[in-house]
Amino acid sequence: MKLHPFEGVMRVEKMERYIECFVEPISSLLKKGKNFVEMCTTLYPAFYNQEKLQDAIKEGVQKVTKFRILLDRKVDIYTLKKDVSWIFDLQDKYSYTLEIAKASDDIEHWILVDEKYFRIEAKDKQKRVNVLRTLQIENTPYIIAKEYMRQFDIWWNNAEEVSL
Amino acid sequence: MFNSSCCNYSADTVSSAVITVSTLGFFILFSVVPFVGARLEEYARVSPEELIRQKLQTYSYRFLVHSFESESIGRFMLVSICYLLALFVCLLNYLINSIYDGYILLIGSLFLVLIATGISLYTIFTALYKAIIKSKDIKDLEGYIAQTKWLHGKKNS
Repeated sequence: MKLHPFEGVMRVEKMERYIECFVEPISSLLKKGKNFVEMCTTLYPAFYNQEKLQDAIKEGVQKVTKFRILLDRKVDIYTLKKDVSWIFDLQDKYSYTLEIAKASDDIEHWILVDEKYFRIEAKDKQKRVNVLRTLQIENTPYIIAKEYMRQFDIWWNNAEEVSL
Repeated sequence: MFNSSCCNYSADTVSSAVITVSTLGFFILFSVVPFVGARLEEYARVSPEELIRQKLQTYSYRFLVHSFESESIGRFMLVSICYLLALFVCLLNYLINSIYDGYILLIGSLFLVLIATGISLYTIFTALYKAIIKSKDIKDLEGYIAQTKWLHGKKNS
């Protein structure tokens, strides 16, 4: 699917797996970041406390110029600060790079890396418990990328900043 | 400079006025275009997938979005068109003047009109190129939209 000579070939991979099977794809996705990472997530502790993901996020924060985590409006920040305290410690250490905010809107769960590597999660819960349906996109054409980034910015601008 | 006895016509005064107004217009347009862009951004309230799908529907919509979504292209196009119109007025002004006072100013303003025309045509064709020529990518983008239908569990995936 070649859209532009400079954009490379777009590759879309469909994934429908149990949550734990996403540790590897998300870790490798986060490690690809060179400029920025934008995540919309709940920071589900049982998932994000896994060593591989912790390492990927820590590595990502040190590599990119901006790492923004937009938390789902349903999360309880107080509980989250206890359950994934390491990420808030990381924010304290890399306050210029890592920003965390709590959304005011109903957000979808995405990971956008460098305008190029995207992970889009299904809006609605799947029928099977703990199963996620996602699209993982490589070499995202700009015409697609900018719409997701624009939407992220809208959510981010309406969000409330979270600090330690 | 020519001053007709009947109406105190001054080509320089008219041109100065036109250039002043168009310079003010420059700032006004730069203020207005983001507002127009913001109106278009209301579309961003729908999901990105829906927005991409909408964008692909019509040539006119694509032209509009391509013209305004990029601030540089949108503003540059509007401002250059504004200047082109202003310079046409100047040209007309000096055309009238040249009847009585030679052709130097007429040639000068004609030169400016040609430059402004070039800039305007360049920006218009850039927008047109993006809107029409690049529309060949649509089939590929439709493929992406189909994948998102699978993602969100819609039937026609």
